[in-house]
Amino acid sequence: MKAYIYYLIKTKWLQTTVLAAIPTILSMTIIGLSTSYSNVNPHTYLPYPNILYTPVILMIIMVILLPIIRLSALKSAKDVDLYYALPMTQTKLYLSHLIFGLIQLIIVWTVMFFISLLVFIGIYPRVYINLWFLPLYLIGMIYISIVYTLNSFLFMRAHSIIDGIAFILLFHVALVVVPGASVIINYQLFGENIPFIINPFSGLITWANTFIILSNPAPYNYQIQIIFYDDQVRLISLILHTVIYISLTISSMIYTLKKMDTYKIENIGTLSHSLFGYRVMIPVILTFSIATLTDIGRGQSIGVIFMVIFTSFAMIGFFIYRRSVKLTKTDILSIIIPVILGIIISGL
Amino acid sequence: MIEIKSLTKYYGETRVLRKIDATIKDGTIFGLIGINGAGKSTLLKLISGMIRPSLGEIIIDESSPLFDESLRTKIFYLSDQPNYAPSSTLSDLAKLYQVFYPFDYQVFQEISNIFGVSVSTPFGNLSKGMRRQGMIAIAFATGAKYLLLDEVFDGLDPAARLKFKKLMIEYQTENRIFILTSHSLRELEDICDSFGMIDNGMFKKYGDLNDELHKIKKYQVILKSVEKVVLKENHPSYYQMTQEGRVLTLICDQTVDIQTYIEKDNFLACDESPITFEEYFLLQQEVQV
Repeated sequence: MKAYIYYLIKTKWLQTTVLAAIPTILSMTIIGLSTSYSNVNPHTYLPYPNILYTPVILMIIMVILLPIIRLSALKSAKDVDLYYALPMTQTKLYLSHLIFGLIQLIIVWTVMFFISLLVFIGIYPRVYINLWFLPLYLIGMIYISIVYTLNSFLFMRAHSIIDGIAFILLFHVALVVVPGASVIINYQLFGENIPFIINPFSGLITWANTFIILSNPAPYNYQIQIIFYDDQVRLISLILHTVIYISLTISSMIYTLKKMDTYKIENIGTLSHSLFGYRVMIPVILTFSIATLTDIGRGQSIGVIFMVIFTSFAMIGFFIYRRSVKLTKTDILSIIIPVILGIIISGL
Repeated sequence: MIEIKSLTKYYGETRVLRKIDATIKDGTIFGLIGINGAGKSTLLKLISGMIRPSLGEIIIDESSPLFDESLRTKIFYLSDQPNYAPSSTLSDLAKLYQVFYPFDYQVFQEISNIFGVSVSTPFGNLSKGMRRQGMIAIAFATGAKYLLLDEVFDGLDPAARLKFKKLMIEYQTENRIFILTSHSLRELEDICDSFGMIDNGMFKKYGDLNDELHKIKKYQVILKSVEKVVLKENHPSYYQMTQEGRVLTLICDQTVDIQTYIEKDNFLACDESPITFEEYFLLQQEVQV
């Protein structure tokens, strides 16, 4: 396995370079050209360095992109005979690709973050407490590893590249739509509105926000007050969130490794019936996206228009799932029931 | 030695192979034949350990290719539809196999030269046949004891086919096993010493190729008249009989004499010849030879 990972590192260096260079250049350009920083510290009148979210946001794209690039070979009907005929177990083959992808991701994050930071420090020398950017880098590394592993898990549940991409996208759409509709639930649980707490990226952004606040050279007590007293709920939920996601990542990893050697490679290229994909994600997204119409279009025609649009997207999703316009009874029920549920929740 | 025991394979609800039993001894060039979709590629993939049997097992050198990684380094499977990045070269692909096999780069170069294939030309610029030749070079260079070559003659021109057959004979040793699938039965007949014919998911015929071909005889008889020949009463059974004008072709069991079918007075001359592998295959498929 080691030898194969070395082989991948050696032969894919150009790909790694390009993957690192594009977001780095983008990040450098955005930071270099940006002049106005909002959100001013009322004590020092110094703006918070929110521009450092740029590499974090670019990384969000990369953790979706990299599992697809790295694992596509293992789900391509054309490449099956090449990769799975290699004399190594399916688990080792998967692990090699997963680890190499993680190495690429860490390289991309490290290069982009530190070059972006250098550009930032070049523009604002000795203004911020640069030491706080180091934990930002480290927490970024942990979170991108978490999301990368989760995305890889989802991709591997599919039997084709297209389905793998769809599974990842559906999962992330669900993580936006579900919390969007569950504002009330959040409020009841946490006493305030933290709608995106279940989204893995919310943890990354919140941690980044914590260190960005601390990097502002305001009186130390003031910073501590912001983080630990004024927003205790957010802090507790953030820690909980991180623990839950680390556990989820470990579980998904163990599940994939346990299943990998018994995975039937002859299924590659066939329809993907996984519960982590179309069959569950589409109804969930449909239910909660219609439920969000509570705020947008209750009792108005715009609400109905949105409902038709969401339902059409759900149907397209099932067409893609079945690779056909002929849907089964279960598929049709998987659309009708969420629509009814969504309408009930939204009170349209 | 490869032992196949009660091997059954389902793809979903479809049964592709059912209860196949076979033993392939070391030093064999084994031809695997069958109509399209018979399950030849599936059997090769099962032997290589790529896919798992639904029932039964495959034992190679007293071990299973599913669980024994070191055994799998002795097996090389060449797909019937190899797919590689158009920008990568044969040399790049050789580097991949060097990671897993005791790869002999010199052998790879030599065989590539025999075929006249450039190892540094991107796959996108190579023809189907040239890619196949390059893959054959890689297969031999891996030093694998078990070479499983699917549709190996596909895309090869007559000169390349001849070169490949010479290579097979040159590289065949007492402890190696080559398993080839092909629809070019004439080519297989030249090099294979045993064979298996898959039909309806089972081995319809399996064994020594020469022995099997010599069990059947083909008579070509010049009749005295163009009238449809009348066979003797109580004649033995035959596989096939066709008459075109005064020429009668009769395929029957090796032990039977032509005069047990036709009166001597009814024909002028008779030529006896062994049947070819292709004719044998067609007979088994109940197709007119």
